[in-house]
Amino acid sequence: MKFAEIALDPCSYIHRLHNEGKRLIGYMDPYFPEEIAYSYGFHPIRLTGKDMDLIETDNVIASFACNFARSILEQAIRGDFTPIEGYAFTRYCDSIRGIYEVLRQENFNNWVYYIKYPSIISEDAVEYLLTELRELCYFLEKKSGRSISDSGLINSVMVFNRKRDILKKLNDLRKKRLINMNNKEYISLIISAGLMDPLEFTEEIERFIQERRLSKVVESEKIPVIISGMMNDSIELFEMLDRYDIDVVSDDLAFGTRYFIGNIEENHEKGCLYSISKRYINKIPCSTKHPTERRHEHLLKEIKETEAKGVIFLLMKFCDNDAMEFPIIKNKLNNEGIPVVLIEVDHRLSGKDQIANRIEAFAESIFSNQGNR
Amino acid sequence: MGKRLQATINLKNLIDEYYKKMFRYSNEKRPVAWLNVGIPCELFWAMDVFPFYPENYGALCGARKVATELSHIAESYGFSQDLCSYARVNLATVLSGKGPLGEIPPPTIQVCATNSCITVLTWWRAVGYFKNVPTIVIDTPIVQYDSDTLHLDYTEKQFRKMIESVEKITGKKLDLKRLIEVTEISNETKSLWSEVLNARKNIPSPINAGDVFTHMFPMVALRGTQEGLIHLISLKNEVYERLNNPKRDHNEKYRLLWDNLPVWYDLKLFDHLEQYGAIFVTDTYTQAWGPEFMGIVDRDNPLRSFAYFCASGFLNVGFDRRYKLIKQLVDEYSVDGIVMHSDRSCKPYSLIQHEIKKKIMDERGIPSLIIEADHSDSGNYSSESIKTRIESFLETIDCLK
Repeated sequence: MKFAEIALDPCSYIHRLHNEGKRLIGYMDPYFPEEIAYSYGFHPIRLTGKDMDLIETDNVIASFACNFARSILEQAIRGDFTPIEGYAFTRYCDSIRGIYEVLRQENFNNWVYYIKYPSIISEDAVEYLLTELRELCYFLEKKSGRSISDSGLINSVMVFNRKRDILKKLNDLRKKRLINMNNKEYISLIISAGLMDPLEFTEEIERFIQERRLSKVVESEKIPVIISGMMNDSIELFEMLDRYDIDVVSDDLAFGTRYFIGNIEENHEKGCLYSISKRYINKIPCSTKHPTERRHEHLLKEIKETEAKGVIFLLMKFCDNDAMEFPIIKNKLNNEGIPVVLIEVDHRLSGKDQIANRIEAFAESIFSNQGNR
Repeated sequence: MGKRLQATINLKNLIDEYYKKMFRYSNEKRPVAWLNVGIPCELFWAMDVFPFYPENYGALCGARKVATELSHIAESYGFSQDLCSYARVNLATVLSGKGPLGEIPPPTIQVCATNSCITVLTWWRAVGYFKNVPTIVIDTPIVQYDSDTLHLDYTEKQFRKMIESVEKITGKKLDLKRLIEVTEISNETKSLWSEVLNARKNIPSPINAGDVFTHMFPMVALRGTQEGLIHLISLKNEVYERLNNPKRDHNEKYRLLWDNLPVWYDLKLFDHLEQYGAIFVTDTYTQAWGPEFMGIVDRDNPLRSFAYFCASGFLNVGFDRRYKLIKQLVDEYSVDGIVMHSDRSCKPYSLIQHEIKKKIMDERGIPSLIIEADHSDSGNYSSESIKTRIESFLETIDCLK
């Protein structure tokens, strides 16, 4: 499977893209409007966390920046991202803000761009971001040496809308148990979604759906759960879930459903850039934004639609935002009688045995509850 | 030095009165607003809505050495030990009713700005959710150096909407005439604060960092009040009297800069280091209330001024502006070395210190020491180890001099 190869070694894939002549822009969070970069001929790359020792980062940033962000910085310092022409940041969280400043100061021959991004959901925020996106366009125009028309931007939006549509279609099939796909394959696909060309990715997923689509639901002994959290690129963790017969039937992850649910209106009367701004401000929010009720509603909806038996909340070490959001989410889930377990992880899944024990205990508790019913 | 300022003794009464007043407001069903330090108290004093700063409360808990115990309580409610300790102690008190002041009644309304960190947004949200308190967020996207017109318009518009909401929820109207009176008192208070900070440029400095950190309280919560103004007058007079009649226990040998919040439970660290002649003559934290980041409010357009101070606040600007301030302080205060508190509870402040350390060494030849601690939670703190590291750092300064 192509996705597995790419997800296993994103760095090699990035080098390959560069050798093919692609101009790469790296980004870290799901609020970066890839459509805009793509319309200027750039290939947006989502920077992924990696299982590695963090050595160089300790010399440039405090140890309590989130581990996901630090592992990306470590890769940047070691030269893994040399093929990337520049980095684009939004105001996502305090750790990523720190990474932005360090990359800017260290100057590894990549340019660094920062979008003054709102943290609230409002019409004023849409208008504010719209101006910032215009600035981004000017910047990319200079860097790419090409100017784009409205239709050029709309074409790019259509490409990414199709990509989001196909990911949503796949997720809908997964929710209905109408696709033969395990957890490891799902996370590999999600990682690949941030690396591959959107047209190629969409084609691959269409092919994947054709190959794996089931004509009817096959009875399964696996425990259906929803995964909630921020960024998580640990294939090993999803393999572990496979081992414990846990079936992730949908998710509430930053680069899972929160990345692909919600399209951009292609023919908005206020123009394409406005509808891009509107989409990103109004998408299902991460905990770094306000308010977050829609995220909670989304999670509860996914649980209801999939009849999931519980939620696994993955908390990245030193992620303040989800750490503060978790007690609220837990309270809401408890009110609905939905079991939830908190699993704290880092970029390399340290303490694997402990994590495995917690997952196993959670699975057993759901099994025994089912037995009692 | 060595001897406490008389104003510090008065400060205790000022703080006691402030908290008593908050309880009184609450008992009398008068409105109380919880604000983060990015939200100007002047607006709320002018509306007769009591402004309470949970971050101040966090510092109080740190200074009274109860933050670690409260943090454990917050953890029992599911809040991670890695979260900001100000947030943990506040949430512990909110959820358990425990704390140095006992149970603190929930506010009528909460307002926070994202100009210090994203954590405040999530913290305010948690309090709002668990106590069912209306919460308003003022969004201030980070700027690298300064706000432009668009940034200011965006912030000012949110201020106007916030005032409308506060008026609606509390039933208190903002009287512009009263606001101007309050801002005039505030302007005077801030000028006095600047004079206090500037006095430290003198060699030797009349005061140490512990003195100014302690006196932050009126600058955060009492700007625009008569009691705050009176306190600053006496503080300033005492500092300048000391400047004119120096009586010292130790000679000033090392002029140091402290970067970041203090370690509230170990302010004695500064006293201890005086024996080596090490005096912290300036710091970045108190400058956040100084002229560079919180200047004079324009009486003809106070909301625009408040929007500016909020949008271009000290932690809402990027590396360039932060570095500029440090360089300026190094030059103006004749600094020999910098001690950077890498504060586990404050990422925006701490994460870029390594880069500042390198650059200030390259450009000014000034050495820095980074020490890791937490501003309120003393759980993993070793005073002796920090003292030893700073003492060794003084030797490094000697070598470079």
